[in-house]
Amino acid sequence: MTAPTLLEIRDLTVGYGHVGVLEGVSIDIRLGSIVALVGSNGAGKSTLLRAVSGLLKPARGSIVFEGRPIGGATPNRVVDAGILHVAEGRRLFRAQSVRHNLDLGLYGVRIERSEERARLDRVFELFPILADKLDHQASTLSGGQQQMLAIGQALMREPKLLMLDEPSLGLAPIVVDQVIDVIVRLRGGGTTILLVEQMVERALEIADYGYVLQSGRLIGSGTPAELQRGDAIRRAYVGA
Amino acid sequence: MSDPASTAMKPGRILRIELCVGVAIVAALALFPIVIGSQYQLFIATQVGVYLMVAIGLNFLTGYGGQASIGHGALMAIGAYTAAILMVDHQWPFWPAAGAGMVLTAIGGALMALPAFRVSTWYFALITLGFAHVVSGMLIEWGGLTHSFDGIVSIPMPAAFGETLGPRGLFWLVAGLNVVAFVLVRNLVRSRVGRGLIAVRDNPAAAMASGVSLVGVKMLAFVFSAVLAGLAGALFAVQKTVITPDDFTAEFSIFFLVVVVLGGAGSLWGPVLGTIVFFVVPEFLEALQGWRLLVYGIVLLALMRFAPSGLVGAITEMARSVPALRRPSSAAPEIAPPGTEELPASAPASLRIEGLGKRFGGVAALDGVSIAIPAGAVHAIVGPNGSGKTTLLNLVSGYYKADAGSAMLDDLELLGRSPVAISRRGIGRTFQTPKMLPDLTVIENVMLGGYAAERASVIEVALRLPRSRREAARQRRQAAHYLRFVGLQDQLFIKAGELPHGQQRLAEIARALVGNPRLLLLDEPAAGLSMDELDRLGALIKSIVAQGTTVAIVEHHLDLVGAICESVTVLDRGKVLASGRPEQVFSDPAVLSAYMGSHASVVGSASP
Repeated sequence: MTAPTLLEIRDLTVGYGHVGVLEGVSIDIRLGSIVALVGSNGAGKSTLLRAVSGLLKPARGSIVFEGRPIGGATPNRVVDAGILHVAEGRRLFRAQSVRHNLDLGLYGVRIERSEERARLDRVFELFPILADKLDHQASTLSGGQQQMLAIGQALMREPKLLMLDEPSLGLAPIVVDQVIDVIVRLRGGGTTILLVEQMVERALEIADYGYVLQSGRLIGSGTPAELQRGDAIRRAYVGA
Repeated sequence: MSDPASTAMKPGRILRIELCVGVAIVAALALFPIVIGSQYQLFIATQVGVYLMVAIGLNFLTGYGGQASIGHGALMAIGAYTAAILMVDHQWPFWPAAGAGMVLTAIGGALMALPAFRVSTWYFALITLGFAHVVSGMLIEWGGLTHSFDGIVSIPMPAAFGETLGPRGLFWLVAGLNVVAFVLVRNLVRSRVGRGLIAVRDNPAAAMASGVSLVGVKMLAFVFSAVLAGLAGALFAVQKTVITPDDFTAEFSIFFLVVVVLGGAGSLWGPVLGTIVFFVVPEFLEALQGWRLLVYGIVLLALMRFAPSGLVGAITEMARSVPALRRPSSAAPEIAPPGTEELPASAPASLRIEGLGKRFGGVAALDGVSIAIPAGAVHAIVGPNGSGKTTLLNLVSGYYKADAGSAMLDDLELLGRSPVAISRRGIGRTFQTPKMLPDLTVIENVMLGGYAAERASVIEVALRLPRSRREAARQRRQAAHYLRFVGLQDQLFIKAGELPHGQQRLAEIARALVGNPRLLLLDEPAAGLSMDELDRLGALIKSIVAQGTTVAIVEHHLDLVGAICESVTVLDRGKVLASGRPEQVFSDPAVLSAYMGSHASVVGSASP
C-alpha cells in the first residue's frame, strides 16, 4: 500500500548568515504524494528547498533521490535528475514572451518536436490562460498568471518532484483556488509535490503528509488529521 | 559593496577602535619622512598620496554613488593646470591658485553630473571617457594658455605658515589633507547623506519614497569628488614642478577607476589599499625589469578573479572565516528610547481620489476610479491580480503620471508632484516586494526613512558638527523605536539582505513610519507572512492608526482586511466594482464571482 520513497532527507544541516539555519532535519517524500512543509518565516522552509535544489551546500546529512545521493550536487544536475524548484516570488524572464519562458523550461532537454508540442498542450490544459497570452511579455501578466507561468515552465520538464515555494504569495483568493486545484490535478497525473505554504489550512487540505519546522528543527510530522489534532503547528507559530 | 565597519558592531566600540587606528596612522605618517632615507622614496610616497586623494573622491562617487567615472584624471588635469598657470604666469600664491582650481573642477564635476541624470551607468562612463579625451586634447591645442607640449615648468613649492615647504613639508601637507579627506568621506557615508547616496545607487524607488532627492544627492557626490580631484591636481603640479599634457592621458583617468575597484568600491579603506597596491607595488618590482608589466597584469587578473569585491572585500571575507574574529551579533548595543517630544503625534490626513485614470498603451489600467478615505481610517483596496491596485498606489505617490482625475491629501493636489515632494508632504509607502537596501543594516535602512526630517547641512554632516550629531542620534533612537514597534528589536544590526522576506516587510513599514507619515500606503503587507505574523500585522496597523496616521492597504488576505478595515473598495479591470463596509462588500455576488471564489466563508470571521 505504501508507495516507495522518492526523496529521503536525513539529518540535514545547513547554515548561512544569521538566519535560515537547518539542524538535523529528516524528511521522507513518497512517490505520488503532496507533502506540505509549514512553519513560521525564518523557520528554514526555503532553506530546505534551496539545499535540495543544490543552491546551498549542506554542512551535514544526506539527500537521496530515487536511491541516488544528490546532496551537494550542482543545481543543473538536480534539475536533470527530475527535481524542479519554483521559487518564491515568480522568478520569470520578465522581458521575454510567455512562449519563450515555456521554451526555456526545456533548456538543454532534447526531445522530439511532437513531444514538445504535447507537453505544451498539457500545460495549456492546466492553465488555459497561458495559451491566450503566448506572445505577451511575461512582465505584463497579472500576478496569478505569472505564478501559473512559473509552474508551467517547470512542468515543461516533466519533473518527478515539483517543489513549490509559496505559490499563493500575493494572489487573489480566487486565483489561490485555481493554483490549489492545479496542484491536486498534478498529483493525479503522478507528479510528487513538496509544497511550502503560509496558508497552512489550504496546504493541509490537499496534503497527504505534513512536516512542521521551527527555528530550523523539525517539531512535528504526520498526516493532516494528526497534525490538526496535535499542537506542533500551534507551537511553530506562537513559538511556545 | 558596503563598509564592513558599519555592520553588526557596537557603535561605541567601532569609534574606539577607529580612534586607535587613526592615531597610529597619523603618527606613522608624521614619522615617515624623518625615518625614511631616500629622497626618491619620499617623492614616490608624496605622489601616491596625491593619487590617493583622487581615489578617495572617486570612491565616494563610484563606490557609494554607483556612478563610474573615467574622467577623474581630466578633472585632476584641470586642477593642476589652473593652479600651475596662476602660480607661474600670474605669480599667485599656492592656496588661492589651488582654490581657483577646485572651483573650476567643481564646475566641471557639476557639468559631468548633468548627463548622469539621463543616461545609464555605462553610457555615463563612456561620456566621462569622452570628457577625458576632450580635456587632454585641449591641453595640447589651447597652447596660448597651456603652452601645449612644452607644458608648464618651474612650478614653485607652496608655502605654509610663512615658510616655503620642502619635500618633507609637502609630504606632511599631502598626508594631512588625505586624512582630512578620508574623515570627511567617512562622516558623510555614515550619515543620512551616505544612506541617501547608497539608496540612490541600489534602489532609487525606495530613495524617493523616503524623500531623498536623486538630483541633489548625485550632484553632491559629483561636486565633492571633483573638488578632491582638483585639489589633488594642484598638489600634483607643485610636487612634480613640471606638468605636460603627457601627464594626463586618458589611460591615466582609467587608472583611478581600476584603483577603486581593485581596493574595494564602496568601502572606506578600499581606495587606500587599492592605491598602495596599484602605485607602490610596481616600485618593488623594479628588479624584474622587462617582466614587470607582465607580472603586474597577471596579479591584477588574479585579484579580479579571486577577490571580486576588491581587496577589502577579500580581507573581510577571510576575517569572517576566523571564528575568533567573528563579531557576536547578539551583542547589540542598547539604544535609549526616544523622548516623548521626539515622537510628534502626527495629524492623520484624508485622501480623496476622484475620476482617476491611467492608460498603459492601449490598456486602461485605471478608469474613472473614485475613493474617499476619511482622516484616521483604515481603508482596503482589494481586487483580482492586475485590477489596478498597485497602479493606484503608484499614481497617488507620484511614481506614475495620471492621465485624468485628481487625488487630494486634505487640501493638497497630489497629482503632478514628484515622489520626493509627495513623500515630504507626509505620505509614506511600502512596496509589493520590499525595497530594502541589502548591504545596509536594518537600522540604517530604517533611518533612511527620516532623511527629510534632518535639517543639518552637508557641511555640518561632513564635519560632524553638534547639530548633525544630535539629529543623527535622534534619528537612531526613532529608528530603534519603530523597529521595536514592529517587533524587530533583535535584528537592528543585521544586514537587511539577510532578513527573511516577512521581516523585510515589517522593516519597510518601520522605515515609512520614521518619516512620521499622515497617510501610509501599504502594498500587500501580509504577502508571505505566516499566521502568527498576520495577527501581529493586524495589531500593528491598528496601533499605527492610533498614533495618528490614515492607512490605505492593498491586500489579498481578506480576514485581515475584515478585521482591521472600516471600508473596502474592490477594483476589477481598472474600475470600482464595489465599495463599502467589509461585510457588505464581501457578500456582494459580483465580488464573490470576480474575486473571492470558494473561500468566501472565511471572510468576516474575526481572526483568532
